[in-house]
Amino acid sequence: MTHTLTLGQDALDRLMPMHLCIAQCGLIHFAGPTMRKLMPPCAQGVEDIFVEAQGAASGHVIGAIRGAAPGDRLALRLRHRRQLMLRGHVVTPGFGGLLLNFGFGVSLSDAVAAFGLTESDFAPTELALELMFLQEANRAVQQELARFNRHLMLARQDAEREAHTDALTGLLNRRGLQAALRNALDPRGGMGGFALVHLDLDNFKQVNDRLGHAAGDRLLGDVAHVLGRVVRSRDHVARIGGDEFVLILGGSWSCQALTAIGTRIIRGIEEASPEGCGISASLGIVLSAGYAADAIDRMLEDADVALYQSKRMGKGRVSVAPLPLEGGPRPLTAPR
Amino acid sequence: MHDLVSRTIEKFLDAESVPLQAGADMLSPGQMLRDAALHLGKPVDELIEDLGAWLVRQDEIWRLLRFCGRDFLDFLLRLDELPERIRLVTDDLSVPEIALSRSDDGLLWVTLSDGPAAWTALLSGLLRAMADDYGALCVITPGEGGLCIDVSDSSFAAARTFHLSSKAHAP
Repeated sequence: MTHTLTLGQDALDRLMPMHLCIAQCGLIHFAGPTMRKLMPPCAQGVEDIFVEAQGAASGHVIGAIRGAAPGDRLALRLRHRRQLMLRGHVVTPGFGGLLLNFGFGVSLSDAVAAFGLTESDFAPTELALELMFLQEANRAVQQELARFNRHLMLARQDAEREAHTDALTGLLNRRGLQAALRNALDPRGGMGGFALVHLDLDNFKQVNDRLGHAAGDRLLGDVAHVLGRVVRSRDHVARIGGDEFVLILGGSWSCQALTAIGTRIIRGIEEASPEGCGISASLGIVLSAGYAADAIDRMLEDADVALYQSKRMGKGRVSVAPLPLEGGPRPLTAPR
Repeated sequence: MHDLVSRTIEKFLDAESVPLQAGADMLSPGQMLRDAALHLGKPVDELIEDLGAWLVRQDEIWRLLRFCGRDFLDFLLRLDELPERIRLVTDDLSVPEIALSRSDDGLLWVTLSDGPAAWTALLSGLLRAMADDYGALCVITPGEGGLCIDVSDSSFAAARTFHLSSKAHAP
């Protein structure tokens, strides 16, 4: 058995504030209070309110409405605010016209903003306010989470930097050097060749013994300054213990250029020496050419061998190791 | 969500000019509030009421609260939806259920089930601030396991303007 119901316009307005009652030809009979807010003031027919969502030419809106089968979802855009899409459905109430009812779907918050809608524009059954509530709540929570993530990322970067830094001089420490060397030897992101300089201060023990450890620490800081002045921004300087330093100098180097730069470093360190302590430095240098990407340890060992060559030759000088597979290190004495 | 609660309390205590001790973010929210109450020399319930009122002054939270009722009476009568609304946003915050009843003399009784007493103080501060916001005149009295609210004039003053859309201005 079927029931028939007669509803006054007031009841229709409250149940379906976005309804639209039209004739078969598309002429508007009446509309719900919220729908009236969306309509241009002098709208006569549905074509004045809507365009088809798919953007078909004018004249097809009524066709789309009449062509909708029961249960079909109508999607129509507002003619004067095409970014707003309404969805709805149509029934034939029996007096010959058509009764449509609409909702905003995902265009809701844009529509509320565009038409200044309020709670009373929605039927109590609609979830419009809950949807807007959720949208704002989510945005607020997400902003907070993004803040947490930024905070965590910065904390991690700080920790990483600290783990790679020598606290006394601010240079890289051994761990930082390992990371820098791994990058430098990586054929994909590498520097395209570099020189590895191993430096050991001469007579450093004298400073500690005669002037105390504070003076020793000060000297190490001064040496860090000297080294910092010599290198360029893409080079790296590390202190890997006591009075041992390592430099990574990017680029292709000739023995002459390396000897020149090594000599400048030695001069700088000698100038920083406390009165009467005779501080100088011995350097051993290897070139990256010929080393595989995983040969970090071998490279450091070879630089160490070159360094001891300098020490054996009488300190205060530079030795550049020959390319691997050739003979022993080739000592080059720095001009005094 | 624990982080969000802690951060809220940190911001609140900062606004109250309570200095935060190092490592305070490792404390439970309750401990942070008890320490702060001691520092300010006021009862902890009073501080939690202030927190409730402060929440209403935070723009994002204020907007979410105003979605919950078109006037103060409507807000009160839908207060029992609040825990469910909070669960819509996050489900790892345990919020006590809120029950409402009206006595014959028109008083509204709000009962919180099984929650720590702090919730009652928080709600009390929040409701006082919301009454102000809606321009309503009311008396809120804490009682056994809840609050008694007497709304004497729900439109005593103009409500603060609220638009459903955060982008909208008066049409």
